[in-house]
Amino acid sequence: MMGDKFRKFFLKYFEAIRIAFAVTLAIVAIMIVIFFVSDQPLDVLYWFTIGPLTSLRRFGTVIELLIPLSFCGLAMCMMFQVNRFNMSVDGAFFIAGSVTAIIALHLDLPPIVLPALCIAASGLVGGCVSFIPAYINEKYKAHIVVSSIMLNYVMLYIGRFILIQWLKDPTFSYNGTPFFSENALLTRILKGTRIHTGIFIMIVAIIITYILLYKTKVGYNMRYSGQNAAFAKYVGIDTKKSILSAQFIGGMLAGIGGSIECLGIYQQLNWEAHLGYGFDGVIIATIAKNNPLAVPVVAFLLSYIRAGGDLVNRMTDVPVELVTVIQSLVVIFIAAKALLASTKHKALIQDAQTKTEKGAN
Amino acid sequence: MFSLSFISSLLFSTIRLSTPLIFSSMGGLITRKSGSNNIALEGTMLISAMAGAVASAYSQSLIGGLIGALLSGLLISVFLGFMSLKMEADMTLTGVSINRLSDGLTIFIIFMLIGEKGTTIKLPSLSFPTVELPVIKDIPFIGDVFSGHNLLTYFAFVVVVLVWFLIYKTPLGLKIRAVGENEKAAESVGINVMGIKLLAFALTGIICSFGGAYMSMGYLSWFSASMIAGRGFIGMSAMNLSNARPFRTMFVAILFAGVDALAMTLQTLNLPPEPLQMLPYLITIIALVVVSKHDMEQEEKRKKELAQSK
Repeated sequence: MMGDKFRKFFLKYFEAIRIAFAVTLAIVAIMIVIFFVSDQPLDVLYWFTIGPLTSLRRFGTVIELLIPLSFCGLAMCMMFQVNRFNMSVDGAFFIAGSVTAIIALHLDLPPIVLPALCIAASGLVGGCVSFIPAYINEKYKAHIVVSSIMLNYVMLYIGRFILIQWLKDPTFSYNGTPFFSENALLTRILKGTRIHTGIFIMIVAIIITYILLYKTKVGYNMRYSGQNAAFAKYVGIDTKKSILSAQFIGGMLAGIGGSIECLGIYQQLNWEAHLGYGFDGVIIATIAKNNPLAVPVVAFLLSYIRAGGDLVNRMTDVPVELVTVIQSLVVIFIAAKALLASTKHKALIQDAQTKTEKGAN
Repeated sequence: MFSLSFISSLLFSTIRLSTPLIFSSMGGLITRKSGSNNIALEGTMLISAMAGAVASAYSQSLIGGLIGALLSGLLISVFLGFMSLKMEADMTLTGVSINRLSDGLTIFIIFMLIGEKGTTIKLPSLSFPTVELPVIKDIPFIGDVFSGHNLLTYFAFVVVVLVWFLIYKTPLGLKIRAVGENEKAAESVGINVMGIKLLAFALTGIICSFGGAYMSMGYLSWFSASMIAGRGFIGMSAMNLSNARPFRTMFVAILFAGVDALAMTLQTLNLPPEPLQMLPYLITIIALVVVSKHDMEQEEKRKKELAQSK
């Protein structure tokens, strides 16, 4: 069956191979569909795979998107590390836009101070948002998926209320606040793109989250509370506190990401619906195995796919929702533990057999 | 403002709005009874709403539309069951992904068909008829509230009885409950656990699809993107809050629908719409907290009594 060398390789990198297999499976499945329904399937393939590399501006969109996706990925890592399916990242990210707009439009502060204040306040509010479903889940065992998704709707309408009834500039033909003053903005660092200084904040956030989770006692407690709550309790960890604070930090990260996105890319508030990065966060955390250091890599892949999808949307007859379909299939296939499991099992047995044969010889 | 006609129209829209909630909660009830946690009710309804509107437009028949809706809901629900039970994917993660998949897939399909992303108003979709109840319709007030609803609205209440009958009065229902309560015990008496669990997903898919079909072929006569707007989750909460008992679930669903109806009616006054639109979701969270708290206190009480009796 499998060669000796290949089998060893297969067993060693099984997880990576499984993920690659799931991604390929999803993309191939969707491409087959495209070949049937689209009049220009080759164009779709071209724009989807190479499109983002065809100009600086197009590649810029990949990096621009990397920033919010990384923050949402980090946020979901925190939720998943304590084994809680807290989906409030969307709501925290969204309401951060409102908080940012309120501060940026009403306070007259020097540069650096003003965006710093916006980001800090948004982080705090985001943390509080994620804390609500976390708390009622710990205290009363209320279903966390349902309550956090309901909370996202609540945040949506609070945000819309702030925008439409209060902050909106009536001279615009759409619902949008006036553009923020120069002092509030995050500086753009590369001409021809919208890449902004938020990327440095992102890098810092990734490093801090990694250190927190893997190099401190607090993070150790969080991870143990998530992996084995009974054991953690037994060795004297305050699991409730760990689980709650991890989710608060997760919401904070989402809020910071939302604020940075608003100050760096939009430069005004015109969000009337969720930006939908919460689910991207779920994907990123799943593939990254909740490790913050892997988050930017996966987020890059995801934003590349999304940028490709946007180009497909503009250049061909296939809509960008193609990407959503691929992403969700990828997650489901990766989550499927039984996928390739029988192949692995066979390889393991063969490996053992060859070893015993060698031993007998 | 609070005249008799105001109250009767409020109650009328409560019943109207309870339709999708009843279907989704009854769907969720069956998987819950079989011991699975299906959070893809929302996505199942969305896909079937789209399929119903599209299939009825192209086949120009109501039955065609309904078959389209039911088949798509059945497929997506069984897909979730298969991936989580047979392929051992995490059920919550898969469910969340299916909801997201439905968001994208529905828009993808209607765009490929008619070149628009928002709605399918362009398509000549059919709607289920409204029914005037004989005799009842002539009774003042009562007739205004209970008569003139969509066919599927009446069917929703029939489904409640059917689900109750299925779960508590048939051998299949007994098997479903046995599997949900103790898998190993069920297996030891020769029940095909995996088969029953998958069947529960299939039934859930079908029941939720009626809710989806109602949204695009009754409530509205077209499909619009993300038109379910959390109703799958609210239905699921109604079911969880009443501990998966069919008739209690129905009443909670009607209560939630009442909040929604009140919010919608008040919007016609000159108030800012956002706080009112928020109301159904906020009430769901509050109800979730209150009932979960109550359940926990009951549980503790029982434990204490048990300890004392020992």
